[in-house]
Amino acid sequence: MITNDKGCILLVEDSDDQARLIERWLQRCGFSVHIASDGALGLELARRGEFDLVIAGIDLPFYRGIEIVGWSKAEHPSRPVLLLTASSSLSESEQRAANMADAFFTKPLKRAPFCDAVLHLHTDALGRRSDAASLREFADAGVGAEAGRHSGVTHTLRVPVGYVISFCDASTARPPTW
Amino acid sequence: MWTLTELRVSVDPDIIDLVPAFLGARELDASAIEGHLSAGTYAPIVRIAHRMKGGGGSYGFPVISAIGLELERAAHSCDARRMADSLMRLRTYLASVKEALSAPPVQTAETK
Repeated sequence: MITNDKGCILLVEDSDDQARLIERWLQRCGFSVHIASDGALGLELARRGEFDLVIAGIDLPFYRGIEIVGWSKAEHPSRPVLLLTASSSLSESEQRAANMADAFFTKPLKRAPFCDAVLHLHTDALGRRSDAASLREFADAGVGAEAGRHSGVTHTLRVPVGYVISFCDASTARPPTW
Repeated sequence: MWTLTELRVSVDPDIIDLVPAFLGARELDASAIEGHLSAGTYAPIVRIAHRMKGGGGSYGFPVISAIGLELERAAHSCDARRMADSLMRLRTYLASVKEALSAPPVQTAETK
């Protein structure tokens, strides 16, 4: 049985048959998929926070994938963005967008590496969100503000956060130095 | 003509129901390319070819990606003869695949 409760992915792809194919692959991985068939709709949806991950083609009508990755990263920095292109060479601006994205794939796509990348990015983002939530709880308890300021709330902080929780007394909170 | 190796496709069973629509869309692409070629409007051919290049291999039809690449290059250089050649290759390939798909499945050592 296939369940689509892993999360919701925004797929911005103007080629209908490519969109159907990628949608099918992602559904098999347990995601639900919302397809936007042009850059304008894609950009509007990407700016909202309701999607767990964004996949966008670079060559799209109206707005290009470059704008979508830029806006998405500006407004939802922890949400992964994966860019797709069928071009073998990238312009300077496309290369910058590719560097800003969390992953970049050249079509034709291969199912296994593509799905592996999506699953990895999604799991990684969940970990980061969980760390951020821990820090928020920590801040509410009166000790996390310092820890958060030290940490920068990045996914590399799982160990330091655990360390703080284990050894700090909330009433006399002093963050350890790391 | 196509060699047996070129005609061999490897389609993921999970997407087999999507293949007829994919091949049907390529037939529509062929008609659109023919129209643009007659009209001498090559920019839309670049876009169609670019999509074919990206889509064919993902569906398990690498020959369609290869024809898309040839066609895109020919359209970029406004080479009508090469575009017409690529269009012919696309049509014969699609016809061969259609024929192969409508034929009864061949028993191989693995399926026996």
